[in-house]
Amino acid sequence: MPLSKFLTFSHWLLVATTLLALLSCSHDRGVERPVPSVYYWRTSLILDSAERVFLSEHGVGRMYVRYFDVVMRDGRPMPNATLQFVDTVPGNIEVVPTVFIIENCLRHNLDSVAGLLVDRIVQMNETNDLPAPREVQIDCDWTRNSQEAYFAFLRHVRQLLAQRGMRLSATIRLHQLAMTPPPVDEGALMVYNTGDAARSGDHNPILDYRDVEPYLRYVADYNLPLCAAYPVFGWQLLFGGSEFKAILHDQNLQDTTLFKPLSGNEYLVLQSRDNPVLSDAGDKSAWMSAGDHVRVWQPSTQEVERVARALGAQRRSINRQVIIYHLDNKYLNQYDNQFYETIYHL
Amino acid sequence: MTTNSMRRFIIFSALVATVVVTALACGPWMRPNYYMFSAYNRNQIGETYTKGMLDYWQNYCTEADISPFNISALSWVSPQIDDFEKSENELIKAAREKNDQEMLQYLNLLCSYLHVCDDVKGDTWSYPTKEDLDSRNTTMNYIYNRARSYSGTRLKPQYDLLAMRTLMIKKDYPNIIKWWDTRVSKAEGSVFRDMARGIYAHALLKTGKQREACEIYADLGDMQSIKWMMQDKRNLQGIKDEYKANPNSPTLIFLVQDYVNNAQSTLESLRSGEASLATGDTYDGFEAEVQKMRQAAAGLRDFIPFAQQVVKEKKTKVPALWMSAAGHLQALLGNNKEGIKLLDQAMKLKGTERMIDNARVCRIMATVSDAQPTAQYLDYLKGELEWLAYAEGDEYDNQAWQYGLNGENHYSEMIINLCYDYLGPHFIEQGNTNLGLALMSWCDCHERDFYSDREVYAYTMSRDIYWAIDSLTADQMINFQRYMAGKPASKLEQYLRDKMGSNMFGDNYFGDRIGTKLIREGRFEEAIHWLEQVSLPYLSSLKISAYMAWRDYKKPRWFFNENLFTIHEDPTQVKTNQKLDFCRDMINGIARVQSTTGEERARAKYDLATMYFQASCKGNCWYLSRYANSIYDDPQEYKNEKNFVAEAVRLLEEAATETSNFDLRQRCLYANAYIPYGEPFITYTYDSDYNQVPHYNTNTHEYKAMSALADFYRANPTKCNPYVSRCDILRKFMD
Repeated sequence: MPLSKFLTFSHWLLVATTLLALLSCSHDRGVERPVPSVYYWRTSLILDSAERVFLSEHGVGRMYVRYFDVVMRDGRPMPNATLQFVDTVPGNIEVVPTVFIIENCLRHNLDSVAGLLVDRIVQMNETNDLPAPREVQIDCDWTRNSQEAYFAFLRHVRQLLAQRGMRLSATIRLHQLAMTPPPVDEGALMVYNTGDAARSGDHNPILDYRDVEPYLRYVADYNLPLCAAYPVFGWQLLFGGSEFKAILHDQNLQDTTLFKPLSGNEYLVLQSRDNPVLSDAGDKSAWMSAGDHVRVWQPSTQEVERVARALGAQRRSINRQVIIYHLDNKYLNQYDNQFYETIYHL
Repeated sequence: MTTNSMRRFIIFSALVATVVVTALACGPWMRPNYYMFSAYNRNQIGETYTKGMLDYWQNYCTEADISPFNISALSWVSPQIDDFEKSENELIKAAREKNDQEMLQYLNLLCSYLHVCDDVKGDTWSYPTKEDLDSRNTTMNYIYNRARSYSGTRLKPQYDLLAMRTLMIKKDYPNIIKWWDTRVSKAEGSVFRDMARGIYAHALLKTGKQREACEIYADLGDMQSIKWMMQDKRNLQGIKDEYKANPNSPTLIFLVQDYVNNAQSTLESLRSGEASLATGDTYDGFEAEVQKMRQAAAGLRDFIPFAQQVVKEKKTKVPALWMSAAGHLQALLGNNKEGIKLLDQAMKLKGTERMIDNARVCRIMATVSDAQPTAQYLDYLKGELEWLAYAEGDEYDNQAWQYGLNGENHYSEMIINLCYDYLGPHFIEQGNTNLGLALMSWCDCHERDFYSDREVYAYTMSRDIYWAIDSLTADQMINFQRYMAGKPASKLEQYLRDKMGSNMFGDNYFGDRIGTKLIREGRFEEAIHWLEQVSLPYLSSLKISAYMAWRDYKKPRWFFNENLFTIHEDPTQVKTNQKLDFCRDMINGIARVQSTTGEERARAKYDLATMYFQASCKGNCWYLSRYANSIYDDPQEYKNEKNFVAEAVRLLEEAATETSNFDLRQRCLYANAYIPYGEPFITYTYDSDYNQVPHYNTNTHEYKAMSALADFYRANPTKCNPYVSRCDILRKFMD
C-alpha cells in the first residue's frame, strides 16, 4: 500500500518543514551533555578554597585538565610538564584529560604516539584514582602545512579511544575555522589569544571583537559540534619602544618606585632590573629597562559578552557549553558573579 | 653570559657582522656594559654544589680526572648488584679498586635513589602504576632506613643528605626539618652538608618560614631562588624591612648588590633617554617620560644616607658592603669625589675579602671621569691594573669553570670595561691618544694571553684596538708607533709595554698597519718605507693573505669577479708583499699619466683607474687598503682618506673623453657605468597593490654614466662588444 495514502497535506507540510529546518541547521550542533566548564592549565593539581567555591557556586560540571604537553625531545615526541596530582577534583565534576601538542611534533612520525598517549592518559587516571575518562581533548595550533599529519594522528587517537568507549574533542582556533574541521567528535572554539601579543597597539591581544569579527562568517557552517571557551585571565606585556620583550610574571605594578602609571592600561618602568617572566621553560628572566612600558591586558566582561553573543547569533548552540579559560583564583575574583552567570547561561 | 651581566650591548662599529667579509679574528663586536658592583661571586649561582662535589670526588678518585659527567652518570648505573659490580663509572671503579666496601654500599644506595628520582620526574611515555609507586616508596623507605641506621662517621654527611633527599621525595617537610635540627645542623662543613641545608631551606619555605629559607639560600649563594622569593623586596623599602628584621641577614647582600647594580643600569637608561631627547629621536610624551625617569633616578640617592646610617648603628657585621654601596652609588650619580671618599672608607671597614676587593674595583671605576695623566694617577693606575690582573687569575683559580662549567670572571669584565670602554676612550678624547691606545692594546694582549692559556672561549677578544687604531690617520699611527718604540714616560707605560711584549706591536705590525693606512691616504711612496719592514711570514699569517695569494689588482673589476665573498680565510703563504707591488705600480701609473699625452695618456688613466678601483673598499683587492670588507662600506664615509672610487670615476671619465679609440672608449664608459658610486640611479617604492614602482634619480653619477653608455650603444649598436650589447642592466635602463 502506498505511503501517500496515509499522509494528508498537513502531514506532508510538517515533514517538509522539519526536513527544511534540519537541513538549514545541519551544522548548528552543540556538544553532547553540555555543562558549565573550566580549563585547568597548571602543572600541579591544587584547588584552593576560592576555586572550590567557584566550581560549586557556578555548577561547574566539567574540568578540562591539562595532563601533559607533547614536545620534541631527543628527536622524538615526548611528554613534558606532566601534571602532578596533589589534590583531588570534586567528585561531581567530570575530568577531561587535555593534552597540548607542540606543532613541530607533527613533522615527525606519530604512528606510535597515538597509542602511547591514550595509554598514558588512561594510566594517569587509574594511578590517581580517577574514573576512566569519557572524553579526551587534544590542543594543537596546527596549520595547513601540518593539517594532514595532525588529522591522521587524530583519526588514530579517536579510533583507540572509541575502542574504550571514549570520545575525542579538539580545540579549534579562530583561524582554523576557515579550514576543514578535524576528525573529532566535537570542538572547543578558543575565543582568546585572538591578537598578537608582540604588537604594541590598542588591540587587546587576549580578546578584541575586531579580531573575532572576520571569522564570524565561518562559525555557522563549521561542520563540527562546537562549544566556546572564553578568557578569564590577564597579561602584563613588557615593551621596549615598540619591541615586545616578554610577558611579565605577576609584577606588583602598584610599586611606585618601580612603575609609574601612564594613561589607561600602560605603565612606565622607572628602574632597570631583570625580572621573572612567564615561559614554558620554567625560570626565566627578562631585562626590564627604565623607560620600557608595561601594558596590562585583561578582557572586559562587556567584550567577552559581546563576542559570545555575536558567536551565539551565528550559531545558537555554541554557547550551550561555555568553558572558562582558566581556573585561577588570581583572575577569577576580578570578575563578578553576574558575569559568570551571564556567560554560563547565554 | 647570563642576564646578570649581559645587560646592554655596545655596538662598536657601524659594520654589521653578518655581512662582513672579514680577515680579522672577530671584527666588529658587541659587548655588554658589565655590572660593576660584585660583593658576592656570581659564579656561585647554581655551581656551588657542583664544584664542591667535584672537589670531593677528585680527591677520592686520585687516578682519574673527574668531570660533572662522572657524577651525573651515576643515575644511569643500575643498582642491581650484578650490574653495579661491573660498572665502569669512575667513582664506582675507584671505590672497587680501593676495595672500599663502605663507599660501595653508599654508592649503590645513591644509584637506587637516583633511579627513583628519574622515575619521579615522570616525563616518559610510561606513567607509573600504583604498583610502581608502591615499589618506589618501598625503595625510598629502604634507603631512608639504611641511611638512618648508618653508624659510621666517615660517610655520615653523605648518609644524612641521602636521608633528607628521600624525605624530600616524599614531601615530608616536618621530618626534613627535624633531621636537620637533630643530626646535621651541628655537623662540620662539607658540600654534603650544604646540599642538605638547601633541602632544609626548601622545607622551611614549604612550611611558611620564607625569611629563614631565604637567608639560607643567600648564604648558599642560590641567588636565583632569592630573586624569585624577594621579588617584592627589591627596592629600598625592602632592604630597610630586611635590615630591621635582621641586620645581618645574608639576604641583604643580594638585595644591596641588586639595588646598586639596577641603579647603574637605570642611570644608563636615563642617559640614553636624555641623549635621544637631545637628538630629537623621540615620540609624543617622551620628554614627560624622561622627566619621570629623572625623578625616579633622583630617588636612588635615598639609599646613601640609609647605608651610612647602617654603618653608624654598628649592627651589621659587614659595614664594608654598605659603605661601598653608598660610595659606588654616589659615583654613579656623578659625585665622584664623594664616592671615592666613601669607597676609601669602605676598604678600611669590616667585610668579606670579596667585599673589600669590590670596594677597590668600584673606586678604580669612580676615578675614570676625572682622570688626568698625572704621575700620581698613572702610578695608582699601574698598581690597580696589576692587582686586577692578579684578582682575575685568582677568580679563575677559584672558579667552577676550570671544570668546564659555565662561569664569568668579574675582574676580566672590569679590566675590559675599564680599558676599552672607560679609561681608554677617556684619554683619547682628552687628547692623550697614545696613552689611551696603549691601555687598549695592553688589554687586548692581556685578555688574549689570559684566555688562550686556559683554552676557554672568551668574548673578550673583540679586537677593539683594531678599530681604535684603524680610525687614526697615518700620521697619528706613526706617532703611536714612535710612542710605543720610545722611552716610557711613566711606570704605567713601562708596565703596559712589558706586558705586551714586542711581538704583538712590533715592526711587522706597525709596518703593515701604517703602510696600509698610507695606501688609503694615497701616500704610496711613504707607504713603501713602512711596508718594506713587513716580513713575508708575518704577512702570510694574516687572514688577508688568502686573498692576496690569488687576486690581481690589475684585472679590471668590471670584467672579472674573483669571488668577492670568499668564505675560507685560512692564512696562506704569499711569495711577495702585494701591497708593496701595488704601491710601486701606483707610483709608476701616476707618473705615466703625468708624462704621456693623447692615446697613451688615456690608456694610462684607464689602467690607473682599474688599480684604484680594485684597491678600494668596493674592489676585489680591498685587502690592499684594509683588513675587513663589508658590502655596506661607503668610500665617502672614510674621512681623511683618498676616495679611490671617486678617483677611478674621474680617470675613467677623462679617459673616455680623451680617447679616440673605440674599444678604449667603450671600456671606459662600461667601467664607469659599472662602478657603484654615489646615490643609486633607481630606487623602488610599492603601490597599494604591492607592485614595485621604480623612481629614476637622473642627477646621480650612476644615471649619467648609464646614459652615456646607452647613448654610445645607440650610436654603435652593431659595433659594440657583447659585454655592452648583452648587458641586462643596460637593456633594462634603456627600456
